[in-house]
Amino acid sequence: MDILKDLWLFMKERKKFWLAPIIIILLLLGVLIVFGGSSALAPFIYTLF
Amino acid sequence: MAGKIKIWFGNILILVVSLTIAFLIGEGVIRLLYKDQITLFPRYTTDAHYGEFSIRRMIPNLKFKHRSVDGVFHFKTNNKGFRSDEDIEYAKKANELRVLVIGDSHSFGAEVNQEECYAAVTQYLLRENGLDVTVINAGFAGSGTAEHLVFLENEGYKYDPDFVVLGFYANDFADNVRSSIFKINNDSLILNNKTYLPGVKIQNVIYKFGLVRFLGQNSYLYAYLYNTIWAMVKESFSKKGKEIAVEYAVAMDDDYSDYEQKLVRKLLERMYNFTSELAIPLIILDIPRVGIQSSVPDNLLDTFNNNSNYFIYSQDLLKEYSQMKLAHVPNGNRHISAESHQLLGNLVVEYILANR
Repeated sequence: MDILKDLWLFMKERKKFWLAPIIIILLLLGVLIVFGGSSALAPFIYTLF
Repeated sequence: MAGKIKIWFGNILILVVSLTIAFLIGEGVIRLLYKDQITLFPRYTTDAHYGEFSIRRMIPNLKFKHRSVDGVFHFKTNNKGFRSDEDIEYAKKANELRVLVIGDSHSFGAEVNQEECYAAVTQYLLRENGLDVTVINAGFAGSGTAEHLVFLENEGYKYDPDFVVLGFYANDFADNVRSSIFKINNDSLILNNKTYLPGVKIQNVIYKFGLVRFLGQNSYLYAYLYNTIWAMVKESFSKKGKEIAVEYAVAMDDDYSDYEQKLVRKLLERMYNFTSELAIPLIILDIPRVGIQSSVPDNLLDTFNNNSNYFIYSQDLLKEYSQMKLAHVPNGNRHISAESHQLLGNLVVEYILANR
């Protein structure tokens, strides 16, 4: 959590809020990779769309 | 005021650039980790209304790609949603020979190029023999014999085919039960449902947008995200005791239930009766499973032989398949390869030339 706090303070201090979407999306992707595992890699199941 | 608008637009621009950078980094990460394991095979099915029935077909007039570690495969659908370079009307020209191909993703040619699928091979070779021929490839991914029968009886026959080719693959057993269009009751085939359109509503909405079509064919990040979210939704439903039916690209087992086998038997009997009444020869292809195993269990061989004019049995072709470099694509969804399509096309052509 400290690193997130530091990032927020850095963005606030330097007015670099444009970094926020990049950080949020990459964090979400990281969470999906960790918790979603290989569930998206079952190639023999057709998705419905 | 003008200054505020300028700042507002500036912020929007920064946001768009920031999101684009995030997307590109995400795309790079997913390609680095999973590129070889992810297939970009968008479905592109829509609803079609044939008589009283509403079933799926491919979106008409569409050009698209399938992409996997095995390569990039090009597709084009015509005005009726068939995988063909030419538009096809019901009325045929004098002396024109027509061949109607029905089947699932193997017949559609999910992992081969347009000119490599057996329907296209058949058309090319027959034209080489001087015939004015049109081969209609009405196959589409995820369909089963029940949908093929509905299409043939309510739409396919309108094209006045001289031959019908049915590509039968092992997962048709499960597909027929899942679609539940027909049921068996007291040993009779009963019409149970006139509508089977899984996933079509959402596809009709999202595929209107070119960006979604582009992402579906090109973005591994997009494929990863929607596959992961879809898997999570399925798991969540499963935990609540509600199973979401899934369509498999390959047969998951070879232990077909008595009911599945009976349903296939009745569907084939009805299909053969229909084509026989119209005096159209029915050719059935046994599309081999990986390892060149037959899609037809031994106890159904008589059914397939007795309910077709020509049954092309995979186990009679073991020598031909063994001489191939690859009978199925090595990765992806393990559909039959271009070499297998060529072999099947050759056999269909031989039969048509001898029996036209």
